[in-house]
Amino acid sequence: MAAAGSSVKELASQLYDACADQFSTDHTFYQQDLLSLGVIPNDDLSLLLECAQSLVNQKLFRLLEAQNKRLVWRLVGREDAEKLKNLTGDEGLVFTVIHSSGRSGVWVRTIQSRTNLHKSILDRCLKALEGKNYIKTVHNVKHPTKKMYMLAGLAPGEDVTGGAWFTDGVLDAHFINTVAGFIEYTVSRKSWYEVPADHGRTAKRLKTATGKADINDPAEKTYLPYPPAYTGYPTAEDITRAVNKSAITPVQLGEESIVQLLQMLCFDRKLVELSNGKYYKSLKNPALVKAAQARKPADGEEPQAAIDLGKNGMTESPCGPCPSFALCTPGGAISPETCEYFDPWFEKVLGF
Amino acid sequence: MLMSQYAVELCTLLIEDNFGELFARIFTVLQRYERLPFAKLKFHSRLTDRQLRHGLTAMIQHHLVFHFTSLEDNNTYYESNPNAAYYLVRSGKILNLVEDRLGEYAARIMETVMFLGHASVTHLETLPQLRSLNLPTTNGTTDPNEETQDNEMEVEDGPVQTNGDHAPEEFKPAPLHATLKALASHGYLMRVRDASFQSPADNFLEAQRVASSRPGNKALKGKRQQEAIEGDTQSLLQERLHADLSETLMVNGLPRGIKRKWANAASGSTNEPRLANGVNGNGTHAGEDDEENDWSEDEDGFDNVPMEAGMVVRVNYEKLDVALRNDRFVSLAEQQAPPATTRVYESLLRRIEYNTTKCRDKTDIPREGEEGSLYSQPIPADNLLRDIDPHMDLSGAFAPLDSSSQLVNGRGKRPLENGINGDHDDANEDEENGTNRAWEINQHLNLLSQAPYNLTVCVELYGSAQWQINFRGLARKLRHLELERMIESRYGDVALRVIRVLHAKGKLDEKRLQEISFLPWKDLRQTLSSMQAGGYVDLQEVPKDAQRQPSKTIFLWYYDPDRVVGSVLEDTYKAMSRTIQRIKVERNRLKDFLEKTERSDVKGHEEEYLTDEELELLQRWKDKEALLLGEVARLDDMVAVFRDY
Amino acid sequence: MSRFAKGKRQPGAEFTWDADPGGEPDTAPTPLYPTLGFSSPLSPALDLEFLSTMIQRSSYSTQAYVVPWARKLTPKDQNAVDHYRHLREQFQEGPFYSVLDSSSSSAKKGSAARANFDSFTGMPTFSGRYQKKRRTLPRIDTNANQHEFSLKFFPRELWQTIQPSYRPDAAIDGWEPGMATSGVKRGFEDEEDEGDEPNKKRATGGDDEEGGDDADDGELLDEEEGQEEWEEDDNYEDDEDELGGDYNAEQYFDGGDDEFGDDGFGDGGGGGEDEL
Repeated sequence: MAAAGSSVKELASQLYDACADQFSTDHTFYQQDLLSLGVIPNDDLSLLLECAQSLVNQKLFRLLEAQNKRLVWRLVGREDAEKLKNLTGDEGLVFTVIHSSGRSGVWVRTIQSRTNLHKSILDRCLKALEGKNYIKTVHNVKHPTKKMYMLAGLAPGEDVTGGAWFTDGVLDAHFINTVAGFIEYTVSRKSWYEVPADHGRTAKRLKTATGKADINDPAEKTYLPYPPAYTGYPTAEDITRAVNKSAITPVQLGEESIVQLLQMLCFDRKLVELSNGKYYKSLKNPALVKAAQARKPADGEEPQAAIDLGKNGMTESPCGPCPSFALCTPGGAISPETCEYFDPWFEKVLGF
Repeated sequence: MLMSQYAVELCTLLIEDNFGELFARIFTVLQRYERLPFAKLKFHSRLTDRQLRHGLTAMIQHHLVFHFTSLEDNNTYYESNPNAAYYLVRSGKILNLVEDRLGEYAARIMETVMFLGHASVTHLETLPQLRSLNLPTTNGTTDPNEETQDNEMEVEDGPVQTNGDHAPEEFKPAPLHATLKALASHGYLMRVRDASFQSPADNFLEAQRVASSRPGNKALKGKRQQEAIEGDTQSLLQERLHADLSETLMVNGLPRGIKRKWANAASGSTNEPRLANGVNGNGTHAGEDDEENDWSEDEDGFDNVPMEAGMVVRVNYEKLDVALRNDRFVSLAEQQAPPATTRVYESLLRRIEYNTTKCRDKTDIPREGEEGSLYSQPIPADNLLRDIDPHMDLSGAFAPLDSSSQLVNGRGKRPLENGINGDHDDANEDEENGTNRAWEINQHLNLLSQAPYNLTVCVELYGSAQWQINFRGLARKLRHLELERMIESRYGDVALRVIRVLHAKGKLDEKRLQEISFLPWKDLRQTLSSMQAGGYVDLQEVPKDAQRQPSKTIFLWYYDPDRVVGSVLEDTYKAMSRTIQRIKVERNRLKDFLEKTERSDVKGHEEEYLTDEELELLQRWKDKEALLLGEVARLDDMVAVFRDY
Repeated sequence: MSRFAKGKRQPGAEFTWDADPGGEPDTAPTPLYPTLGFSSPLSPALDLEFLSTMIQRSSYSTQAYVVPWARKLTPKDQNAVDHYRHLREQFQEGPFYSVLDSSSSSAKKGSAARANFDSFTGMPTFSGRYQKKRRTLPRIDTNANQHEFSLKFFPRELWQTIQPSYRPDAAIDGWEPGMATSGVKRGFEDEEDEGDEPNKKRATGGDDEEGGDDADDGELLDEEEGQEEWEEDDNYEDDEDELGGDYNAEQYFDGGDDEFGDDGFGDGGGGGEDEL
C-alpha cells in the first residue's frame, strides 16, 4: 500500500500539474474533466478519488458541491496551499472565502454569513491571517464605510479602487488636476494656431485683430482660431496616447478613464466636444491656459478676476450676497436706510 | 395684471422717482385693487377729485394707467399698467441704443416721445428741441418753462436765438420727418391705437364679445363655434392692436436711416467716426464718406416725403427688447469669438432685428425644455456684404487651414490694399472681392454655428447657405449664464461643475454624482448642502419601503432652473428696489447741499456759485448716484434675460 | 445600500453651520449685518486675503459677508445712466411731477399745501426764491406743457379735465385730436384771472404773462392747491374750479354757463364721489 500510497501521491501531483496546465485557475473541475486529462490510467474512478482526496489533503484542491449535488473541485495555488496548511480549520475557511473573492475583496459580514463563524472567532481568524500577512484590508470607493478584505498579494480591481483616479480609495485630486491640466494644455495647442513670431507685418496686424488673446501678455505669442473646416482637433484616443507618453502618470491610463476626465473638463467649460464627441477643442488658447493654471488665488488687481464667467447685477450688488437679504424691508431693522454694506461697497469702486 | 410683491414695489418706486408721489399713490391703489372706477379709486386712495383727475389724465397720457368704459354699466374702470412703469428703468439703455444706431438727434426725438408719453407728428414739429440738429442751449433742458419761453421766441425769430454764434449751417432745419421715418421703420416707434389704452385682458374680452356676437359664429355649434370665435378674436385683436410701422416704411426690406447718413449729410464731417461701422470706421476718409452717402441715400430710399401728420406715435418697447436682446447675443460672441467674427455676427443680428417684431410669442415665461424652437428669418451671407465695413479684415481672424493656406493668405492681403485705393475703382476686382468676402462671411458665421458658440444655425435654402438664430436656445443660454454667474460667485467653481452635471444628467444620487463630477466626498457634500440652503439644488427622497427609513431611502439631487429663475427674479426686483431706496437715503444725507445745487440760480452756473470743495462733492454725488443707477441697470439686464427675452 | 451607515444622517448633515470652523456659534446673538470683521475700510491687501479665502471655502451659507466688487461703469453704462437722469430730470421739472403733501390726504383745510414745508425752511427767505418747488397737482393745460392731449384716448369722464370747454352734450365727433390743440391760446396760464375770488388777489402780472419761471410757477401752484383744499368740502364746486382753474377766461364765459346748468352728466366726477 505504501507503494500504492506513493504512486497515488505522484499521480496526484501529475494530475495537479495537468490541471494547472490545461485549465484556468478558476475552473471548476468535474469528474469528467479530471479523467479527460488522461493522467489516471484506465479511467480508474477509485484511483481518481484517491488522488483527488490526496490533493485536498494537501490543500491543493478544494472540494465543492455543485448545484446537482455532484462533487466538484477547484485548484488552489501551491503557495496558497502552503499557507492553508499552516492554518487552523476556521482560519482556512475564512482564507478560502477571501481567496475566492479575488481582486474585488469581500465584506466582513459576507465572510461571516458564508463561514457561519461567530463574530469573535471570525475576528480572531482575521487577525491571525493579517498577522501572517496573508490578507489585507482594502478600501472600496463604492462602499467607503464597509470593512473589506482581500488576499495580501493581490492588487485591488478597478471596481474597488474606483479606477485610475483613486489612491487608497480616495479621489486623488492632485493627480486628477495634474492630468486635467496637461490635457487642457495639450488640446489647446491643437485648437489654436500660433502665429509665427517672424511673421512681421502680418503678425502685427493680426495681433490687433485678436486683441483678446494678447491681454495677458502683449509681448507673448499670438493665437488664432482655426477656420471651421479644420479637423486637426485631437480625439480621445490622441489625448490618451499623449497622456501616457508624458511623464505625469506612473500607470498607463485607459481611454475610458481619460474620457471620464474629458467629460469633467467639458462640464468645466474648459473643453468642448465637436462633431458629436469625436474631437475635443479647448476654449482657451495655450497662453491663457497657462496663465489660468499659474494663477494663485491672491493674484492680480481684483481678486475676483479668478471668476471666469464674469459678473452680473446680483453678484456685484451689495444685496446679491447679503445674508440678511430676505429680512430687508424699508423701515425695518435690516433696511436700505440702515444697511452697512453700501458704504464699503462705494469705497471699493469709487475710492471714497 | 398680477405681479409679485417685489415687482410692484419696484414699479411704484420707479414711478415715484420719475413722476412723484401722486402717481405712485394712484398706481399702488390700482395695483392693489386691480380695477377700480373713479369713485372707488378716490375712496381707496384718499386723494381729492382734482388730484385724481389730473393724475389719471397725466398717467393715461404716459400709458401708466389703462382705462375701460363698460358698455353695460357705462362705468369707466381704471387699471394700472405695470409694464409701462417697469420700462421706465430701461429708458436710459433704450436711448443709448437709439443714439448708437441712429444718432444723437434720433435719441432726442425718442426722449421727447418718452417725455410726452405719446405725440402726434404735427405736434413734434412744433417742439423747439427738435427743430435744430444741435442741442438747444445748455441750460435750456433744465427748465421746461424757460424752454417754453425759448420756444415761443424761436417761433417768432427763427433759430438764431438758440444757435447764437454757431456756424450758419445750423439754419438747416433738422430732418425731423426723415428721422421719424428711420425710427418708425426700425420699429422703435409705433402707432398709438385706441385699443392700446385698454388693458390686454379688456381688449381680449371685448374682441371675444364682438366675435361671438357675429351672426356667422352664432349659427355654429359646439367645438366649431368655439374655434371660429377664437379665430375671430385673434384676428380682431391683431387688427385693433396693430401698431407696427416698420413694414410699411421699410424700403427693400430695410429700415431707413441706417448708418446715420442724414446726420452726415446735414452737419458735414464734424460728427465723430461711427462706432457702428466697425473698427476702421468710415469717417476717416471724408471724400469717400460723401460718396457713400450719396450712394446709399438713393439705395435706402431716403426721401423727403413727410410722415403722416395726424399719426400719433409712442415708444415700442417690445421691439426695443428685440434690439437689446441682440446686443446681449453679440456680447455672448464677444466673450470668445474673434472681434471680426463678432462684427459679422452683429451685422447678421441687425438684419434679423429688422424682421423680428418681438422676443417671444407668448407672454408667459417659457419653462425650461418647453420653449419649443423659434427661429429667425434666414439671411444669406451675401446680404451682409454691404453692411460690413469694407475695410475690415475678415480673413486675418483665422489661422491658415493647411490645404488652403495659400488661398487664405492671398485674400488676407487684398482688402488692405484695396482699402487705400478705395473700393470703387475696379469693377472686376470689386466683384471678385465681393465673392471672396461673402465666402469669408460664411466662414465666420460657420465658426459661430459650432461649439462652444452655437450662436448661429445654418439652413440650406434655394441652394445656398443661409443663417438664422435659434432665439429660444440662445435665450436659454443667456439665462443659464446669469444663473451660473451667481452660483460661481456664491459657491465657487466646484458648485458650477455640480450644477452642470445635474443639469445635464437629471436627478442623481451622490454616488453617481461623485463619479461624474470627480469631487471628493467632503467638497461635494458641503457644496450640495450649502446650495440646498441657498435654494439652488433640491433633494428628493425616494423611500424603498413603507417605513421610509433613511437607510432604505434613495436621495436624489436635482437642479430645477425654472424654480431657481423664479426666486432669483424676485430677488433681483427686490435688489433693484433696495438700490433705488438707497439712492434716496444717500440723497437725504446730502439734502441741504443738493438743494442748493438745484436752486434755479445755481443750476447751470455751478462753477460760479459753488466752491471747489462743493464742486468736488457734487461730482462725487453724481458718481455715486451713477454707480447705483448703473447697478440698477445691470440688475435690469438680468430681469430682461429672465423675463423678457 | 447604507451609504449613510455612519450615523444614518441625511447627506450634508455633517456640514451644518455649527460645524463650520469660521462660523459663529449658534448661541451667539445674530448680528444684523454680519461681516468677516472688516466692515470698515481696510487696506486692499487684507481684503484680497479675505476674499481669496472666501472663494476657496466657497461657504456662502455661513453667515459671512464679503463686500462684492462691482465693475466700474463702462462708458456705455455711464451714457445710459446719463440718459436716464436726463429724462428723469425732464419728468421732474415737467408739468406732471407732483408730490403728496401730508395735508392732501387728511382733510386739513385752509393751509397752503406747500410740499416739504417745515418750520425752519418754510419761512420765506431771499434764497428761498430760487429754491426748487414741487407742485402737488399735475398740470394738464396744453400750453404749459409740451404735451398734447387727444380726447379720444381718454375716458369721457376726464374730458372736462383736459378740455374745460367740453360740453357733454356736444357731438363727440366734433372732438378730433387736432381740435384739442387748435383751441389753444397763448398766455392762458393765468388761472387766477377767471378763477375764484380768493385767488384773484394773489395773482400778479408777471405770472399772467408767461407762466413765470420755476419759482413763480411753484408758488402759483401752491395757490392752486390752496384753492383745491378750500373747495374740497364741496364737490359740486370742484367742477367749477376746474373750469376756472384750467382754462381760458374767454372760453369759460362763452360756454361755461351751460356747463353749470348741465352738471348732471353721469360720468362727471362731482356727482360720482358723493354717492360713495
